[in-house]
Amino acid sequence: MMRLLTLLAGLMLAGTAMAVDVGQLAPKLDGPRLMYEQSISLDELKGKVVLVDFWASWCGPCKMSLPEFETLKQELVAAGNPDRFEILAVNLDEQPEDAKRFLRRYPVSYPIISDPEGRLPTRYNVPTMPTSFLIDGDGVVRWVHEGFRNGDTELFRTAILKLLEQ
Amino acid sequence: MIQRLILLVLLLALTACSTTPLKPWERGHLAERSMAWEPDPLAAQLDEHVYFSKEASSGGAGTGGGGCGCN
Repeated sequence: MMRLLTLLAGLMLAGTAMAVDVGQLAPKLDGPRLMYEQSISLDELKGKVVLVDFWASWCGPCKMSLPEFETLKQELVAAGNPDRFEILAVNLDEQPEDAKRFLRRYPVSYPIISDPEGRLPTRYNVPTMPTSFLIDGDGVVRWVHEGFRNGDTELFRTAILKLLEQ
Repeated sequence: MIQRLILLVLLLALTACSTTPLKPWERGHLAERSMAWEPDPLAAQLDEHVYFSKEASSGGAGTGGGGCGCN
């Protein structure tokens, strides 16, 4: 009887799972690339500091964040970190064509996983759009950032550089 | 008896889970322009101008206060 009660109470709490938090191991992240006929996974980037960014073309702040991330990536690569830093984006448009149209306007050089079914944000329990997770070389989540506002690029730069220096 | 009552309450509570809120990444359709209250802000502003000019309710629709209606 008590077991049944515990199970029922557990079921009621099931909908309130927490987002992936700092210090936790980043959940598995893999899937087909949006712009290329190949797949990519977070495991392939092991050893690098990776910024995982969940976005969609209909999300207002993402229109601001994507070009900013691209500039940041170019800047970090130019500063001598090509093998130590990468951005791995996850696009959540239900129609991948919408995302492709967006990228023709705001092209980026980093890989993007296409996930129209929303399989990966469920795994990460993404709390808002966009959300970014900064993951270290061991695959541990070190920083989580929700949304994107003017001036946030500086926060990203600081967090990434801090991690690269370690 | 108490346990049965708790079980009943828990079961009843579970029946309230018929609707689940949309996840943040499932709001693509809600973000469409056609879903906005005023899809065209410029046209809405023009409509409002016509409205408060004709109704002599400077300040626009939905706001308290009067006006001369002279614009």
